[in-house]
Amino acid sequence: MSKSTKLKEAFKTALAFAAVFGIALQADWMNPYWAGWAVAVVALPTAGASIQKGLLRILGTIPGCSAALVIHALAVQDRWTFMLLACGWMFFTSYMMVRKERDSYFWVMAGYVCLMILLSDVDSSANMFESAVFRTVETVMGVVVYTLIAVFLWPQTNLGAIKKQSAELTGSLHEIYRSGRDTLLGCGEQTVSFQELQGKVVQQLAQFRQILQAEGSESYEVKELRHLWERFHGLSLELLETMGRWQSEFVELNRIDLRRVLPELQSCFAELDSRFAALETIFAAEAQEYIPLSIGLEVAPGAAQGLSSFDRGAIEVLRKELLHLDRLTAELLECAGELKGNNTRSVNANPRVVPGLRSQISGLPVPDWDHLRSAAFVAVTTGVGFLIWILFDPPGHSGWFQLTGTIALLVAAVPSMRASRMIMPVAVTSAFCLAIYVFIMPQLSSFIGLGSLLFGVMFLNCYFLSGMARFFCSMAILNMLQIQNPQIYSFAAMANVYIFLVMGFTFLFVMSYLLGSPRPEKVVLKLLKRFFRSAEYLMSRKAPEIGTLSFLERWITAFHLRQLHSLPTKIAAWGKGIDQNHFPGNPPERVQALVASTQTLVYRLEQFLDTGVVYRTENVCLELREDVKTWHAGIEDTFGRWSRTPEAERVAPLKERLEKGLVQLERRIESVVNRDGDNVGRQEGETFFHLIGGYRGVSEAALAYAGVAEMINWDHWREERFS
Amino acid sequence: MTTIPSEFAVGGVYLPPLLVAGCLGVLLAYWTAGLLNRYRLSRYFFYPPLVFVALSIIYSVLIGTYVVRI
Repeated sequence: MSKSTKLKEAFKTALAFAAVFGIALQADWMNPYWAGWAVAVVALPTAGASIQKGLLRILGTIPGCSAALVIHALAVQDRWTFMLLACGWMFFTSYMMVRKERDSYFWVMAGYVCLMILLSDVDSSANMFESAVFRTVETVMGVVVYTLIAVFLWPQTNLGAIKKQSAELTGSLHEIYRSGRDTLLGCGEQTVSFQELQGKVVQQLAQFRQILQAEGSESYEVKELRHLWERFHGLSLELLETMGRWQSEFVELNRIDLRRVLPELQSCFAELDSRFAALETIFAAEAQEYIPLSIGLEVAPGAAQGLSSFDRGAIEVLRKELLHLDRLTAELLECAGELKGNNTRSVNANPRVVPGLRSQISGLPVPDWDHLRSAAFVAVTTGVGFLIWILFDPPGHSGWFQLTGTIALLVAAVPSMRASRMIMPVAVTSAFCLAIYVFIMPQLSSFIGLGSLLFGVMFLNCYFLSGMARFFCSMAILNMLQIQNPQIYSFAAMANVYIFLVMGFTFLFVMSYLLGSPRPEKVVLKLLKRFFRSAEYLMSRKAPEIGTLSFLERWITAFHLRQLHSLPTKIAAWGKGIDQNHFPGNPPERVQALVASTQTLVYRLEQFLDTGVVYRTENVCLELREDVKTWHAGIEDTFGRWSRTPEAERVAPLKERLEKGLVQLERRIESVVNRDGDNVGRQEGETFFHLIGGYRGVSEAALAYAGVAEMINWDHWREERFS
Repeated sequence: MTTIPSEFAVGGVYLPPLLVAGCLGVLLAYWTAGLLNRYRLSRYFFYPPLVFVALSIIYSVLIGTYVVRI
């Protein structure tokens, strides 16, 4: 953001902040600082983003107020029922908050407003309905005032941003595809690694979603086509995952002459190139129609004869991923065409569907373990805060229940943000505002003076601070200046508020140990253990002796699949937080390589789990069963050991063990195929080679992980340290 | 040095000696923890968060006994 834009934005926020206080004080409304909060929170760089957040704030206030009224009606005379109901509501809202990023602010408000209204008047419930109404009215007023100022004074619009972002996104996807194609064909130098490109696209996808929300609030046209933009986002994400899987196979394809085995490979790449180029021009320039051509990717029969079974398996997996790319790019083109008003239709056939373990359990609702823990943390912190208030009644009184519950929501939303790092900013900004309250505010005698003061502090806050620092400063301004109608000054009360704020954040830091150690390296170790526990479980479900899964088994499998899919991202996020000054032996590149190896394992395991019908080939099945069982037992055992100690298996012995098993399996396959080759149908043969490719893929990925794990100094990470 | 506990007056505001000793104790414990981390001595503790609490209490009691009189 340029300096002049920053200046304008700070001016707008400060003006709205002073104006809402003026209106609320003039109208003699209860707690004018509610309106101030609304302005401080919805002040975002663009009008669309502010409208969207303001809307969520207003909508979230309604269930929050309603829940508070219901809890009060049910448990007005029973403190324990009251506590349980409030904690239950906080559990629900915080789970919903972390579950779906899109609506998270709505649920933050639903939880926060409930706590606020529940204790709006501790001595009597007579004013409760009035408080709920004023809270809603002042929130709406704050949002409306800021929106009007943002729309009429130096408006910053999002219009056109979604198209620009789409063009950039397709450009980055094209770049990833080009880098993969060049690596596969052995031409061109790779200047940027896949992980870097992937990180860039993930960031662009997140921005795309934010822009879609913001521009959807401003533009009717974008709102109308929202379902198409959502589809475009989903397809881009799927394309990124597919290209990740595709690129993770390259190591196994090195020794195969792909041009000879897949003669149509060049034309396939040429068609994919044209599609990506067309996608870029559709968003960047005027609408341009492109009819995707059909892609064929048959294996040359003669060339395939000379390949080993595992190489044929790898070719089958490559074919599958390229056909998947073909389908996704065609659908993306169709979607982009519809967004531009063209009706581009794909001539592709439907994708092949291979019934596997993953398809058996898709659609089952499963919770995320970390989400449940975060929700439990918020509920327990709220409950303990309530007990501290009613049993000890320290400075802050009901704030122990209300404010700590609210800030716990914040900690749960961003678990990698350490609670200990919040204490100092809160202490400093609150001390600054306490000084204003003591030395400056008593000198003011009219709203002109007060308005100027509010304008000044908010302007400085918005101009010089950003992110969490701005949030804490806004909190300090609103809590420490305590503007009321009529204004009463009490140093003791404010000193108590100051002590409470510092003590409250320290309490949150202590409670954050409920979520586990706040040290990122410890969290990475814990997540890796969970990752391999899930991998071990999933491999055991795929063993040859497992028949049809019961409902409970399918549910547990779905739970572990979700874990497996989500953990590499979490490991990456926590890995970035590791302080390199403390661990010079584990530089960021190694942590990144560790994340990449777990991600590759996920891709390989998912591919492996997707193929589930090989045992229809009875002759092959019976003869291979014992070898496959041995391989399964070996890999399950390896994952089991890694789930206890992430570096338990050294590369050399693991390689020897896995390769020995694979060579034995390959020999057996060759003898069976040579003998019964004519009896194995093409579809069965392809599926069979998919599974063989899966075995090899999982083995290679496990070896890659073992190689990275050997380079990491795990003992240093395990050492105890003050956080 | 008097042995009778007395408040600290800062610009007419009286602060209890226990608060002052507690704040100083936490600051000293924070500084000690930083030193222990720096020289990798914290690895010899079983659970550093508890050690931090213990250090804060020890420092507060020492300051309260010998420096500010709580």
